[in-house]
Amino acid sequence: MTKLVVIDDHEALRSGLEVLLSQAGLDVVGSAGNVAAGMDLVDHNEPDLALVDIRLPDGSGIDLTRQLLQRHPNLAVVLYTGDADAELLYEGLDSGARGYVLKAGSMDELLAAIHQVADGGSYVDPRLDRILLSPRATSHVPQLSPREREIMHLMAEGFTAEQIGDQITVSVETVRTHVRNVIRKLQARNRVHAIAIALERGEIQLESPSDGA
Amino acid sequence: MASDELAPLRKLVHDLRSPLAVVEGFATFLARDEGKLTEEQRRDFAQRVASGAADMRKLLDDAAP
Repeated sequence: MTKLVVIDDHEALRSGLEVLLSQAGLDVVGSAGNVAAGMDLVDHNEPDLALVDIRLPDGSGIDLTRQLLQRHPNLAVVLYTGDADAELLYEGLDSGARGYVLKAGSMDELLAAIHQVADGGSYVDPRLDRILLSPRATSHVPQLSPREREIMHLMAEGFTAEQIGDQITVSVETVRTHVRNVIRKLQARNRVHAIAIALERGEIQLESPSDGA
Repeated sequence: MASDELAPLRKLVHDLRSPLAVVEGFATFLARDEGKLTEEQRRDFAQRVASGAADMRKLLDDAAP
């Protein structure tokens, strides 16, 4: 069972999330309303995941995320915010958070995001796709390695992980590991999203039909 | 500047998100309940919906011209 903490300054929301997330089968081990208490909470409970509001009374949830990840590298952080602001999104993605969820979304979306991140994936609210795919946002994410680019290129061309493994002579598990790394690096929601970002950034290019003619 | 003129509205929209999430979350939970919640839980959750709505009303009243 995923062990998580909630860090949000809105008391009713914080206590509501504790109840709703517990009812949904998650192990909510505590909650806090500011940066200092949030740091303490994570240090003492060692949760798998922290759900962190961006605007906290004594600082930013994004700075808190950076500090938490320095001290607890295995912690998964999901930022939970009422702002669909581009600057905050860029900063949030740079902080190492693996999830970025808007309060405009439903509780079901929040739960889906938590499960996805707890399972090792990443999640960005689909309402932010327009910002995410802008050239400015895509220039913020780390560069792919040549091997990662090669694999994403083949994936964009429609090859399966097995076929790619055969083609570049590595195991299918290695291909999957590279794809997971790319998804994380690009802060993508899934493989398709990662391909879209890689294409947008010019990391990979699709051959036009006339190229092969 | 146009962006400054919109700042109060942006703040209001931001501030409404938290109580709205409470209202939406608990109302959905209550609507989906198939008789598993105790009477006490139902009352608690309904009270949270009412409090969330009251918070939203206050935010809107305070922002009204």
